[in-house]
Amino acid sequence: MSSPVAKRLDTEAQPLILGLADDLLEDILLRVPTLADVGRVATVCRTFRRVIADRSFRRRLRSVHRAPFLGFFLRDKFHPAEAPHPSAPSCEPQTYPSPSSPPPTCETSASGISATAAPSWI
Amino acid sequence: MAAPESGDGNNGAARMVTLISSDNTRFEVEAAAASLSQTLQLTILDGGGGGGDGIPLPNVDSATLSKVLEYCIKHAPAAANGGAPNATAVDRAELERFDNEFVNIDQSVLYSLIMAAHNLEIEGLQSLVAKKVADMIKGKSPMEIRRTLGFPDPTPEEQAEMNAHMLEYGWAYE
Repeated sequence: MSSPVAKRLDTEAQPLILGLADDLLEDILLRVPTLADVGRVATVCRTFRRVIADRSFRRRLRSVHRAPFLGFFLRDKFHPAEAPHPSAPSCEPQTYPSPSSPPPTCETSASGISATAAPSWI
Repeated sequence: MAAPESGDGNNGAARMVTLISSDNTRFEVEAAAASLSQTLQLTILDGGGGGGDGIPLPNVDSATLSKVLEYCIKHAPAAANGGAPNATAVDRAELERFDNEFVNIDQSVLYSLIMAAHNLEIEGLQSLVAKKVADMIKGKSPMEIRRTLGFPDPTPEEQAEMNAHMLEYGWAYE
């Protein structure tokens, strides 16, 4: 199967980068240095969101950025990673938009943030 | 004689091949350089591209192809001896300097290059260009990324979507 490398190239008034096929966009996004960068790229436009939300991309992304260290259990108590550790921001308790929203589960994808884990869409 | 070896230096002229861009420009280049492309390597090993025929590349225009070949010619010697063993620190530093300068070009050229590198399967070039674009993105806010990549100002609808997304993925903004 050959990939449609230039499928959207001719659409006018589009940023040039959107002329790249998804697998080339993925190639670029896999090389931004942090997951936070990927998160901000996802904010930029629908195309980027779609590429980033794709399951195969997330799998590739996971192989580049390992799961962050979230904390450890000691005597049945969970100690989250704290400030000097780079993954500390992912470990802070999250607040949810409204108390009536359903609690997220591990399976929650792009629509919720799980309580302790880092980005739920990974 | 005339063994189709990609010359690693033992006398005589290196084997040359001809590549033809989409706009019909012919490029003559050492087989060793062209062989950085996995796609071309197969054709060349089969004996293609020599003599008068040349290898047509209908997806690559001449401006892009000359840039691609500039990369290949520079990187061919290092690729030929497997990258590491003979390469001195000086050689590596020189290649790195070349690479940095090489990708210091317009975005439109970067995107043409990454497509060409993908088509021709030149892994080093593809990752060099992808890394360059990634570096243009890193550490920036979504609006800065939009400006860098030449997006128009967001419509109110897009702005609302962006706001909602930022709210949801607050961790990316700390």
